[in-house]
Amino acid sequence: MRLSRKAAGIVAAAAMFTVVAPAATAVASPRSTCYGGRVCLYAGFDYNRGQIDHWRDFVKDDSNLADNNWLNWDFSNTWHSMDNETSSVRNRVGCSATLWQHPGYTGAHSTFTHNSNDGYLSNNAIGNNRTSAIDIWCR
Amino acid sequence: MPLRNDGSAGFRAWPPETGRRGLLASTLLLVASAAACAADEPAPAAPDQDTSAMTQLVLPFDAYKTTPKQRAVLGNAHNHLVVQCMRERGSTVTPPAEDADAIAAVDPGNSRRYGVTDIEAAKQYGYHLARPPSPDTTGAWAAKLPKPVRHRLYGTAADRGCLDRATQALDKGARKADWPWLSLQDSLTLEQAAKDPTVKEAVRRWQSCMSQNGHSYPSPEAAIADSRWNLDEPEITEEEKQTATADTRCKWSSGLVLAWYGADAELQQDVIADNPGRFAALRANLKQRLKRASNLLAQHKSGEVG
Repeated sequence: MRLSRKAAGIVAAAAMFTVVAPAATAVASPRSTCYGGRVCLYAGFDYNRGQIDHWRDFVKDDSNLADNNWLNWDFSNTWHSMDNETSSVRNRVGCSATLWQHPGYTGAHSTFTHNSNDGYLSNNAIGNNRTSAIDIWCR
Repeated sequence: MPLRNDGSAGFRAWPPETGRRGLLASTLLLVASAAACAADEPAPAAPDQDTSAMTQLVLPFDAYKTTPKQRAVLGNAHNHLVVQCMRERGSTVTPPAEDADAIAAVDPGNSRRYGVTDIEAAKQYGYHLARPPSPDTTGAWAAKLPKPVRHRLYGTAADRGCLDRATQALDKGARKADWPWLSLQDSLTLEQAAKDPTVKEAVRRWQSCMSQNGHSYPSPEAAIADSRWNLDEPEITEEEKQTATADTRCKWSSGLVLAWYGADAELQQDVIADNPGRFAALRANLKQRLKRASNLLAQHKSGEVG
């Protein structure tokens, strides 16, 4: 009922050639921080503290993270797909946000009220989280 | 169940103690009966009144998750700790209050756990999320803060800000519990249930039903992932609405929702039975955090703390 890892890899590989990193802005939030008006996802636990800083922030819904790549600490594109790779989250968007297991806002989900964090989202046997979509309630 | 005055957790009950389980079972069985009677034949679309079962997809793990009311209590206590922390550092901030009713109004619950299954929502919103807009409160308090204040609030790479400190303060003293493990089990039971033979059979009936309605998809996931719909944009085409409506009707008439929910619930019950210590810790952790949060809010109300 879900994309196989091989298929997911193909999707991710395709995404690598189609996704362009946004221009750096003064309000985005690498290095463990997350400023107001956004939801920040991190590839590592504890908001990437002591780890490679792969992160990305969101200001509106995204139904499929497979077509998004992580950003580096300097805002450059890592070319790594975000699908099933989120390990921690900070919600600073001003309303609740829901992380979904499957694309299209389906499957299991976790909702984070504004100003809430989770530094240790669930990980599976191979170390990847299962977040595939993000739903920001006020956008 | 409301939060009690002593701050203890008003946990969701499962199985539902009001006989809803029986109602759910009978309703779902009615829905599935057409498909069960003619397993090899294309299932007709289900009548729309069957959507009443939607709100009753209560799962065993739900009894351990926070309710909207509990989330509001924890959120508001967190807000007070943030205000206190910022005041100690010379800044005044006014984070917006969390409202339990507002959270409950837009909380998706399990309505999209097995894909889109709400026929009425599908008619109106297609595969898009069916939720009223939530107020955007960011601009009201944090967006215009000067940079040094933002750093105190949000923290830096070197130092945790007041938002993190408030979270730590709220968690202090609470019994350790492995919430990430519960989230993982929550996604695993869903995936495992999808492999159940009864679910696979139901998917075949769903396929047949969809085909009869002029839609050729190998799976419900393929239907929602159709590139003709853009779920990131607000526009919803008539074609999307029609397809999603047929999809949801077929999900019920094929017995897919019943089969998937049944297998999912059984797996969750097994996980709970096999891990009593973990679940006791989850319940104790939430109870302690809620007690601390409720006490904090009560003190604030009586003017004992800022």
